[in-house]
Amino acid sequence: MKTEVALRGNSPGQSGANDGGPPVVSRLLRLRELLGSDKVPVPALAVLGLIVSVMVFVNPSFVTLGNIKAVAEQSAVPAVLAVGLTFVILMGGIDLSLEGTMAAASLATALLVANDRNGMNLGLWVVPIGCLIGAGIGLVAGASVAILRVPSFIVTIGTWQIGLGIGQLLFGSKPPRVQDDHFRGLANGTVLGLHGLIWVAVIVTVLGMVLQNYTRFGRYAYVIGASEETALLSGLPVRHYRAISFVVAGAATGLAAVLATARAGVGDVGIGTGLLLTTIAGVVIGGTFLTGGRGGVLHSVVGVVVIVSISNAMVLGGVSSYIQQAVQGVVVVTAACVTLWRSRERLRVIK
Amino acid sequence: MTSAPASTSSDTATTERAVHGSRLRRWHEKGLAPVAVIVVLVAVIGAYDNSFFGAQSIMSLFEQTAPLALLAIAQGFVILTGRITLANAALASLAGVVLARTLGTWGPTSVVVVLVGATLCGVLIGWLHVTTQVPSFIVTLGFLGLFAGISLAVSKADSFLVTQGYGSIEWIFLRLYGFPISFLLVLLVTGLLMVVLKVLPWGREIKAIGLNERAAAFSGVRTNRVVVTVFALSGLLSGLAAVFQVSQLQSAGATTSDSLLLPSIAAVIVGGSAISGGVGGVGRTLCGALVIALLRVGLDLVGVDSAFQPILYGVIVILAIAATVDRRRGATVA
Amino acid sequence: MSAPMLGLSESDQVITSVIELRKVGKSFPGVRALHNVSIEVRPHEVLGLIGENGAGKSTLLKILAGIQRPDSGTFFLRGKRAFLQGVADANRRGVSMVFQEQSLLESVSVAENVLLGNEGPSIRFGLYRWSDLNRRAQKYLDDVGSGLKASSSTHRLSFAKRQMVEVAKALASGERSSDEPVILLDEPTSVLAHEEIQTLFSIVRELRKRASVIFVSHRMEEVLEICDRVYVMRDGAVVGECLPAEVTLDDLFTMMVGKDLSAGYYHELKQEPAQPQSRLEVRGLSSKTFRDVTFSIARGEVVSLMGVQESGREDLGRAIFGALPTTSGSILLDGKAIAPRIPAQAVRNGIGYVPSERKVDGAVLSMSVAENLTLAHPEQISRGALLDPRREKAAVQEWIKTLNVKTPSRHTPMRSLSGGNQQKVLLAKWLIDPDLRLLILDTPTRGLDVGAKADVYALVRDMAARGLAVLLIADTLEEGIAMSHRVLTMKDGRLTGEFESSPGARPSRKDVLERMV
Repeated sequence: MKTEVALRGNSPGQSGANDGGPPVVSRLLRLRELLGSDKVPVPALAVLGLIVSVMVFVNPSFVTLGNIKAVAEQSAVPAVLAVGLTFVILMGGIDLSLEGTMAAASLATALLVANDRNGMNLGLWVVPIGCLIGAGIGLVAGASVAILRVPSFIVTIGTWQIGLGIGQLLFGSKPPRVQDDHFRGLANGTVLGLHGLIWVAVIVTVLGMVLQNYTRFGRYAYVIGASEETALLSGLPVRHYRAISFVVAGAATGLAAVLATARAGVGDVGIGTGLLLTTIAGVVIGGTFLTGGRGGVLHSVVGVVVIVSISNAMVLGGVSSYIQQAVQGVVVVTAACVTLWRSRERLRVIK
Repeated sequence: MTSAPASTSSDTATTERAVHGSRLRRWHEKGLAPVAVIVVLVAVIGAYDNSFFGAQSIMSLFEQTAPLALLAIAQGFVILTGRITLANAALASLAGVVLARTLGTWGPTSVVVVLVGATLCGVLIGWLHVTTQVPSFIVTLGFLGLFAGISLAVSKADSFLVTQGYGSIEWIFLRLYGFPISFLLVLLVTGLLMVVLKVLPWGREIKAIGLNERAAAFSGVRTNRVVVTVFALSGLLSGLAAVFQVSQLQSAGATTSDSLLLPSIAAVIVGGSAISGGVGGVGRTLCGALVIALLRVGLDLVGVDSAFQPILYGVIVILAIAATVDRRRGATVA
Repeated sequence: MSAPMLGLSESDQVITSVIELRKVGKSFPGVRALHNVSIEVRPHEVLGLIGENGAGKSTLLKILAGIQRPDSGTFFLRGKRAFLQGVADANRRGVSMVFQEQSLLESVSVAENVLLGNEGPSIRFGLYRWSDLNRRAQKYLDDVGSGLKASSSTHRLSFAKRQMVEVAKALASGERSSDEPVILLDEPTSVLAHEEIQTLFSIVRELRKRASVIFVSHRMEEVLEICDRVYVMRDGAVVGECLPAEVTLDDLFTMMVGKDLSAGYYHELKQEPAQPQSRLEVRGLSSKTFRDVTFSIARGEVVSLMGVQESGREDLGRAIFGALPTTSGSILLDGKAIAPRIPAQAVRNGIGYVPSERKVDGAVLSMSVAENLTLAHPEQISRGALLDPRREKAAVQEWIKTLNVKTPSRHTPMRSLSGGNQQKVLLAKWLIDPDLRLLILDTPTRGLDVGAKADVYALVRDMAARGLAVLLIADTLEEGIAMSHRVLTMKDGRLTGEFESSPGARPSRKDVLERMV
């Protein structure tokens, strides 16, 4: 990136300037700065606002408490997925494997708690085990990217299939049914009127934000995403962190699979079907740049809620549920176009 | 003046590594690897089950491979420019659904309409990608969802049986002196495209774009335009694959061709194309498709659980790319 | 702060320098960048380094910063022999550089930028202690007088403020070791306005109290103003060491240019006068990096465009070729207005371009000589719409012979050719078109051996004699002056001078250099 010669003696505006005008003005300026900064996912919230205002006319049941809870529940699993995926995307990579990893983790989970196929009864131990399975698959991807230097989009297509295969292997001929009610309560039990699913998602989001804002892994994810070159020059072990990002994403995916399995009560190879598109759509519309360095966990989770709200609103509005995938597809493309519009350059090579 | 250095490897080091490049890679680059693999697989399978060498099973294999081969070639062209499409199979499913619905009313014209429509979809995808400079895997992921959704809506999640007008395409899955017409057509398409790539400047431009797009642009190649035509061709071939699918099954559902996405990618990689672009070819992609088909047949024959197939594809793709990733090209990997 | 460092060398000699390079040499394929260079950097001084393009400044700087290792000679850091293993290692040892191309990360805060790689002390149990990190960073930000808050974001900071953050970062890196740091500033003033430069100078003067500063700039007045000592470089060697108080600008220019070379090298006798008709007219052309450029090139004329790296001259070449967007102005080719938005359009109009980064922008290394040669103008080897292998073979072989390209065959991959031969192929790529009207050459002889250079010069002369207009962004002053009919100089984005140049009546290098810096 060539530096621009200060030809006119002008330079981009200075930050933090406050010439001492009336307090309202300075507060407005600070609000504007907050909105313009990356801390708050503004476009996603704007879209959400738009949906709410439209649905108030089309079908007011959209804004009832019951429906809001339903949206929250539907968002829980993709939100957990999005938290993990965010770190991979922040570094400029991508993980397309989540549907496969979920298949493997879901089947494993269903076969490790009390079920109708074998005599295992590990109860809540499946939670960390599910995470480990996901992390393991993520490790394969991470190692391939870091050591074998295979591009992440193709590696994770590979681990997608590997996870799917593992799930199919474990599946056998019919789905194993979960018979551990205590385990199922993890997702379906209510605390303070909200299902456990939602609470887990909230906890994971908070953990994700701590990881993002208070650990080296999180902060360096932003550094690597902004400029891998600068990161390398500063002595950061970039490949190391890239590999870890896939492990984290895998662990989150494993957890999401455990939750989904608890909710559904059955081990299902297709448990993740459609979630790749939903999650990526959520991440993109939330404002996490696919090219890395911008956005974050909160952005992705808010984006996921927006995407789920769109689907929910469509259903309430009488739109065929088949179109949902189509809409998500359009959202992914549109949101990506909008966020990357400014970085366009003549002769820039983007594959 | 200095700038933050992109890498500290000097040009001499990379030149020398190139000169002593691995023989394996050069062999691979010549496209001989998949042919060798085919021979090995045929031998192994044949040894396991002699009846495999019978004409019936070989012809049947060719027949089964036709739609995959077309989707693989569609993918291969895109990969040749260094990009990827996740939408080829979904587009084929959509095209199949539309074709099944319209064959009865429009007869053979519906085939033309579907092919043109699929090509236009490809143009749209390509144009969007080059104009907005959004990475291809994202654009095509989005279109995958779009096509899948439209397929579902049009077919109402039901499989549609073609009763009228089937005659216009029924012939594709017949045999000509015992040889499947479908595969003959695939060979025809392959041959045609190979010639075109060799004989038109367009073929060189595609290769240049895959190897060094910036240098190609600086040499006056209209890189954006070429990429759009590649996506258009990819769309056309996906549409053709749909025609074959409908011909073979006499029906079409919203997800009929979806499962061919990964095999199409695996076929391209196994066939010897580089994932970063510039290295590859239509003939070798066809060989790659045959390898994939043989693998499936072989595994079934040996009695391996079909669940191992996706695992195998995944591992093969990762290893094949890792073995041939061109470290000379240097760029950091994300 | 500590007293000047004293160390004992192997030969028990007392060394007071912070860094000393003794007889350091460095070569790259085809070019000897540094030859027998001995310099020292003393404590608490601002050391200037000047020289024109290709003098070896940037290589020397890279060696000091740890980016490159010398091929010969010794590097002493605080009295002990040192082998720096890259930038991170150099930082750990107290040597850090503020790069010319800014490397500030917009995705993290100012404090994180300042302490990148250096957060260690502020992390407890794996978690960032933000107040501590901000406090540490704030100290450095205040030391350089930036007026910035450590916790603020880097968005929308002016170039001057960014520069200050980078200096703070270099200072923070430099102070990781317990010794006094060495801070390398590479062209720090090129993006600054006048008052900001003065601010930078006061920062540098403050820095001098606790560090050594190396100041590289093409702006000679600035170098004389801020530096305590100056090294002048030319052709890979140090040709002078002086104190600013004792020299004039003129003396410096003289040292920088040295003696004139002989004329034969550039085939000067082959220079024919330009034709009267104008071929290229550029009027008021502006872009992000240059402003209001107006000049013309006649048929058969070679115009050299001279300037240092940020002068905007490379961008001007790219803009005419359609590789860079322009904001205003016009371009006329043979009287017709053209506005190429991509290079392909410029190529259709008969413009060719040989980029400076041959391996990255010019050649597709994995493709063959023939494929590269015919990439821009496939119509020259086609029959109708289809490629004609016979025409291709004939054309390629002819050009290989004409240009004396040494290659085993026309199917050899470009990668296997030497730099000079690659460059010849890249020239042939454009010359193959009989309707070529304008050729833009961006430092075409960089990295080429003497023989290859001579071949390129001869070729340019021949082409010009046949009516081709050439815009030469020259590698060295001699080249630019000797090869041209006219010399244009650029500085900071504007055209600053124009000189007529013909055999026997060449402008002096000093005169040209003065307009460049």
